[in-house]
Amino acid sequence: MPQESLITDGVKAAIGVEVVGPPELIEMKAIKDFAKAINWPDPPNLLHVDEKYAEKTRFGGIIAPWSFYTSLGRDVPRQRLPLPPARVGMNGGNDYEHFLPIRPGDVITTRSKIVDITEREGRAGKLIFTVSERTFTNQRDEVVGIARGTGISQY
Amino acid sequence: MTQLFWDDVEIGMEIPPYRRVVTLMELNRFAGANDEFVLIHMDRDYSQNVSRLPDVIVMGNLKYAYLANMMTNWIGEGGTLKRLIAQFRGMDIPGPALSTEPTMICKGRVTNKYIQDGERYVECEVRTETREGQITTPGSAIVILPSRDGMSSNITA
Repeated sequence: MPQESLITDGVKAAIGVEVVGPPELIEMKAIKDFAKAINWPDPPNLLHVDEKYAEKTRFGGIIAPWSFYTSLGRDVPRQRLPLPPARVGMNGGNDYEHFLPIRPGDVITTRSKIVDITEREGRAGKLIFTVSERTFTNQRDEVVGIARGTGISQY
Repeated sequence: MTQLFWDDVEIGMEIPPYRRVVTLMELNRFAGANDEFVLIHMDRDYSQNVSRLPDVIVMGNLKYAYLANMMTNWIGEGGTLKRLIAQFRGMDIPGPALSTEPTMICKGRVTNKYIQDGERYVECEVRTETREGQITTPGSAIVILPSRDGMSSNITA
């Protein structure tokens, strides 16, 4: 018996809808904790934790680690897709583009949208691939980065 | 930190490998810093018996951070990582507590170099490998590097 697609018109309607998150103040401690976590058990890179060191670099002060984008926009309200609950959700991939450094005191706004939803028949059941795009802007309305990601839901 | 210059990069050149010992300690620290508290990264019983995974698995975002670290360590503070693409194809299992043996190795290789709009670009193939040599995260990276004559990079990004 042919299985019905999970990608209904209701699911398709979510594609392209932009959701804007609350402005996020980037605190020094968040940057330091992130820098520590991605280097542990080695000491973090001084550019992310030591003001005296950082001000002598071309950046003129502390900046967030490059991959700090992954921690942004966690409070953006999630779009509720009319899909049954998945057995497991996984991160299928990241594709981030960098424009400007993020600094302590910046206020970052995240705009998020789903750009594509596809379905595949996996070995153990259906797989839904959701491609999303998040654009991060700072308090001067400058785009600091764009994050494209693929989520995989296994049914 | 030593600076890498575009002039000294050759196609085919290997990026210095970046070895990581990943245990639940690293996953927990990253879960906190990245606000990524997901049971398949925290709870073995849940991973195996509810999600039917072999074990707790390492977050894709942590593998991504390690690949970015490899790149930024290599290019130095004068270089700019412009774009990093990674596909989380395989699962990485954390090693035992207090382990000192690397569980994951980030590697990469230069695939192209060119000048565009006055900026000096280098493209690389990157990947994470398990201790057994299985590639779990293939990807690619684009960086901008300064030149030895100091003409680039004039951007502060």
